[in-house]
Amino acid sequence: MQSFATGSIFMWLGNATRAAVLAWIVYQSNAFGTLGYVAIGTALLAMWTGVLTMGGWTLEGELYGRTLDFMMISRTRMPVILFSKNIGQVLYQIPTGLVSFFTAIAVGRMWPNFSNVPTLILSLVLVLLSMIVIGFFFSALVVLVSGRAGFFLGLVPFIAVIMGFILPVNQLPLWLEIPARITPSAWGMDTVWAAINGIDSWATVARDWGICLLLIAVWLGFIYYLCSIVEKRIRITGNLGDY
Amino acid sequence: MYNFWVQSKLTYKGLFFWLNWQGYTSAVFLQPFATVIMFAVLGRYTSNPDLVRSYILGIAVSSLTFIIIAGLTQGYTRERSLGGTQFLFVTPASRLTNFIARSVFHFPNGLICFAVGILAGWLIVGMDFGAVNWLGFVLTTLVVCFSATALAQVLGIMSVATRDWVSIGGVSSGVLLILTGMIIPLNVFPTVIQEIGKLLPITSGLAAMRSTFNGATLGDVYGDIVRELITGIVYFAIAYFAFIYFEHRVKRTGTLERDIQ
Repeated sequence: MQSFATGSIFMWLGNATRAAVLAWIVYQSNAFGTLGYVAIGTALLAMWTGVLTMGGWTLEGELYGRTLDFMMISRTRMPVILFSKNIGQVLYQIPTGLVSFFTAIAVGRMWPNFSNVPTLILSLVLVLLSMIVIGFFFSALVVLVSGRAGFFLGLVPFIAVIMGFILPVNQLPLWLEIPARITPSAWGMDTVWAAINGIDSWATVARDWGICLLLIAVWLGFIYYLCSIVEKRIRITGNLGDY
Repeated sequence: MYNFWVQSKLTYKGLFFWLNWQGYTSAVFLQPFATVIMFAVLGRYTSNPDLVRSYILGIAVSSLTFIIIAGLTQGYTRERSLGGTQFLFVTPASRLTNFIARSVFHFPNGLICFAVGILAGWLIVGMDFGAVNWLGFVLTTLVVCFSATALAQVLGIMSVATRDWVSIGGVSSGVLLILTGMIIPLNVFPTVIQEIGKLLPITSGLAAMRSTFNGATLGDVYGDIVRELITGIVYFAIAYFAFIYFEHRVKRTGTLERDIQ
């Protein structure tokens, strides 16, 4: 893997251009009510891109460099290692998200109105938790498919859409909304939308937070099962990858 | 000629790490489709459908450039990190043949990505192909793909020198997205930025592509196509001379070490 130190600035720039384009679409449409959501969405999209690509690449690099073999003989369980790597990835990507956020604001040429900041912050914490969990799922998948390079690339924009980072999922076509509803962040982003544009019903916000937390728990259980499959495959075949 | 095809095949097969069914399907088929979905859903929500349709060609071209740039730059970087470049530099093999051979199989990947992007546009936002001048459209697509490949060769040399194809690819894709009129029209920028944009590959070709998509004849877009072609040739020449200079420099300084992975 390339140098993270030099790569960070380039990554910020790369993501900032995409944030600028998405914000420009909002700006030239005079859809200023959407700007706050899109600015936050582009930040999350930038972080998500980093989590999935960097997470995938570092795992791929570990598989290639055989450092992941040591994970199998350590006392720490594989799910714990993969989960903690994803927490690290999400935290590491926060500056990338901030650069994209402020780029979108700059292109939109106005500071968006956030109706309820405490709710927004709590919702964003839940969304970041969701991102960690979905990133954790893809980490397990990378190891399961023996780190097949590039397989997560096409997933980045698609998953970003169904996680609600571009628009609240109730604005998506039905064929996208249905899969979106199984991701916890889709529910979390609904509350982000409410926190930006005004909360009509606290019951709805509480329900969405509850479903988000419930889905996080379900995903964690499923990923733990997935990790056990991965670990079993590795222990039976004695091979982490096919390099 | 035989050597040319052998080098084309081996550089592609050995250095394009996404050449496994999961990676290839995701990068070449799913990625352009998903990118169109991402921009289309926002565009449809915030503006009118006609405006969204005008984005789609730009988004499809961005997928074309992405796959070619990523494919070629990773090939250059990985050849160095895996220790293959040293062997090339001690052989009497034609550098020009080797240089051109690297891009041969990445070119069709760009075309496939573009086609998938257009298909996604048709399925998702109902692009209307009724007015397309197909001869002009296909010709401009081929020329844009050529110039994107030329740019990717320049970036390939930069990435082998810096050993960081991910960052080079990310920034260059971002610059192209902003400055070539893929989504944001060039005329919204200050004149200086517009002139920079016109020096980049894609800009003229994309303008011609949009015109032929709306029914313009080849005569109408002749100037743009020639300009795009010349831009591609100039970038190829720059890349080739950079390739030769890189060899000369690493031989003189003895700095072509293999990465430790």
